[in-house]
Amino acid sequence: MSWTLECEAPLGTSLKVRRHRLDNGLCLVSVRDTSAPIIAYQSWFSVGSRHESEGRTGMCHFFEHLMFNETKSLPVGEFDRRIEAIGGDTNAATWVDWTFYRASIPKSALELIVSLEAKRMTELVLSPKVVEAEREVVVNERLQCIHDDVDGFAGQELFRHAFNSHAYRWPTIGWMEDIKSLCIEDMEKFYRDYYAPNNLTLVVVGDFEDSELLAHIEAQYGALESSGVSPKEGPAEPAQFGERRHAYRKPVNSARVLYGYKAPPQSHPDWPLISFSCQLLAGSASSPLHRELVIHDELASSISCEVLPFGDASLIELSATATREHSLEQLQEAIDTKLRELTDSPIPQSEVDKVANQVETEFWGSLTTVDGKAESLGHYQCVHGDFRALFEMAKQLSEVDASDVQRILREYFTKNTRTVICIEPETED
Amino acid sequence: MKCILEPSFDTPLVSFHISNRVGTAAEPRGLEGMICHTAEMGFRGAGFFGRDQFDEKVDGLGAGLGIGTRRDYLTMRGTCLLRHLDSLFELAVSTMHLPRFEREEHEQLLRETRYELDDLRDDDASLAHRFLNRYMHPGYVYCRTALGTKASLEKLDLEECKTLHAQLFRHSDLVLGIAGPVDEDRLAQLGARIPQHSEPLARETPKLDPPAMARGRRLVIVDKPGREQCQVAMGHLAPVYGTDAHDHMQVAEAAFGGMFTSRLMQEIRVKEGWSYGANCSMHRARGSRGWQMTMAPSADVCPKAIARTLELFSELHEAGLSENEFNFTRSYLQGSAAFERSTANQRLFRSIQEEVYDLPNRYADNFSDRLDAMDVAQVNEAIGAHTHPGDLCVVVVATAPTMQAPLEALGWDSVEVVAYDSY
Repeated sequence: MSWTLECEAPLGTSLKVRRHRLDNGLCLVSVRDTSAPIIAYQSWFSVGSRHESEGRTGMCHFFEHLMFNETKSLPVGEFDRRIEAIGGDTNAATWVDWTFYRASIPKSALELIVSLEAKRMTELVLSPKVVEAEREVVVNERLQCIHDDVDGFAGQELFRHAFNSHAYRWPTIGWMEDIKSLCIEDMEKFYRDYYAPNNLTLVVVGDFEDSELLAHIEAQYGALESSGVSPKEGPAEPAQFGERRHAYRKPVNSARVLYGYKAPPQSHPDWPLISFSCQLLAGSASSPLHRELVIHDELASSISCEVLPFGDASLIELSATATREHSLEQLQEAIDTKLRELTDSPIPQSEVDKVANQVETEFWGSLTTVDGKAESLGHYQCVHGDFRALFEMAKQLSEVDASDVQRILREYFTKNTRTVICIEPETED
Repeated sequence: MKCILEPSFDTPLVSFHISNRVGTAAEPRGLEGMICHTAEMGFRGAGFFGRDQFDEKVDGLGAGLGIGTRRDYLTMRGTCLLRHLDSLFELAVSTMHLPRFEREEHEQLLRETRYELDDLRDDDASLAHRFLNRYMHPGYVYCRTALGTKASLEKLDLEECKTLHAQLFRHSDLVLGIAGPVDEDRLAQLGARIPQHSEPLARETPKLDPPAMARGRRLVIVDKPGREQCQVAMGHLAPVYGTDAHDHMQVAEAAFGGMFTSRLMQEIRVKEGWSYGANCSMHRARGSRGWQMTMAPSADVCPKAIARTLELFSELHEAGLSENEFNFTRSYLQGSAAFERSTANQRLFRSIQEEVYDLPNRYADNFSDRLDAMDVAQVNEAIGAHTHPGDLCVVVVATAPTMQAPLEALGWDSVEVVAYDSY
């Protein structure tokens, strides 16, 4: 078993990103950055909630919680104790396309973290006691993030109604009834299938010697075998023809509306153009939607627009919260009117130049810390199969012109492909 | 004016901070929100530019420019590509020295702040913190709202705000810090662009002596309909940052609720599964601020989770930390220090805090040395003196008709139920 260096690319003026691979499929993306005596060590598994099935939703996220528990050689709590004993910090995140585990450690703990991460990938113990305690935590997390959080609830409903076939229709945390019924046997199979080197990308950024990093990882992961299983792809979403609209009353103070316009996957050539257009529409105080609806007309207290960075076709989310003096109807009418105006009239070049500056600032801002660098590289390697897509995206964003924005507004911001979620305060009666 | 440079040449991004030494703790009673409002007014038109033009200028540079309001100081922070530094800095300086203070903008900002209050009420965690701050030690300067209330906002007068603004940015009080690909010469050039007008009168320094501890175990239920879960925030005043007692209590903070392996997280989340998180934290300020514990249990287990937390807190007060626990926590704090100064911006932020809190240079960095010299007996003595399980304010955002009786059954010196939109 040995490493193959697959590619290299510069990161900024002084750093270099390298991608190596082991014969068993394990991918390593690394950046030696000695600006501080710390390391960001992240394990990205290419499995997320879109690989789940009806009745077993929430599996990826629930499993993420379980990974912090017992292994054959470490009792419950020992993983965290060893990391915190050296001042390190760990956490994890699950989304639609991936699950990743992050550790921020002092440079002296490189060998320790490689060993700990390899152990929990290969010898996790799923005891009923631990699973049940963690189930309660996940139930509480769902209550906190969706049941008692109006924006979390609106997001859940948007995806539930925007997708009829694709697995994006359930929330990453899963439906409550599924969380309560996921069984250990299914979890064990999930672990065997997906927590394997062929489904893993390690991303390491920080103060280390390249030769040591490769040696430690090969020693811990080199002998592991590929599971031979790739996450299964679910059915594609058929095209949407016609607006879908759903209204709810909740115990909230402010009414709000959430639109989801159908958008292509992040790898699609239009995706950076859409991202640019969202920033142009509502990404700053002087953007047309913010200026008109929040500042001039005071119809909304806030407005935002973004396209989701998903591996499959997903949504552009446009959300706005109404001010107390105005109704949700007035706000929606104003949003539609403004979008129509922008679609029908030329976009000034000055607006495009402004957004180009904003996205360039944002790009560098996301790469300020070692954790930020690792997270960006991990996402692009996982979702696009190549971390260099991050740099390609930055290049594409710098080349957008006014006619691109005009076309994007015309093609994607259409009523026929949108789903609308309205939330209004409950009335006294 | 003090100038601080944190050079960093990894990216073309540069950040600057301009801090003063006056924050919301200096606000007159009854005029809560005045300093936030006054500071923000600088961005609602300055120099040649009205609000729209000002926003257009900042956004056109692809930059971020805003002001953060703290209890003890204000910090204006700008972030941009290096090629835009001069232009953005010019705009930042204009907000301090040439604010327009137009009546229309004043009135609009007051409305926007009321909208912000409306939106805050839809976020239970923010509500819990707002009410804990109010009830922990009523009237104390650090326990007043920085954002303001409906009543206090109505009293804000444009001319008074304008006068206050002139006092907020005294040249001799300012700290200018820059992090990014710049050198000392560039820092000096930028510093010279902040004009030294004749110094306006200083505001009276607020009285920050720690007040007497508010007494008793006090339950405040913030009544909000339809809650399946309760947001819990509890706390009392804590030692002042920069004192030995604060250093010692930092160890207690980490051991009790600052790590995943800490007592609260292990008992409330890992063992019982009652809440996704269970933490404690201690604020840094020039005066005495809060020791706070937070969690979000579902409504059915909320009384049990609060009761267990109170027990744990009493155990901490009575017995302190074990030798092993102290050593583990000390090791954690020493190791984690590297992450708090890993970027130029983090190092700059720490240096600015030391300046505005009148602490020695590298005070935060030297915490590791002070930890080396610390022993468990000192920490436990501080825990005995500065934790007060019997004098604790507990705020619970919950649906009162269903939760009041089970919560009252825990036993309190006082119970108050307030509407979630009453403050």
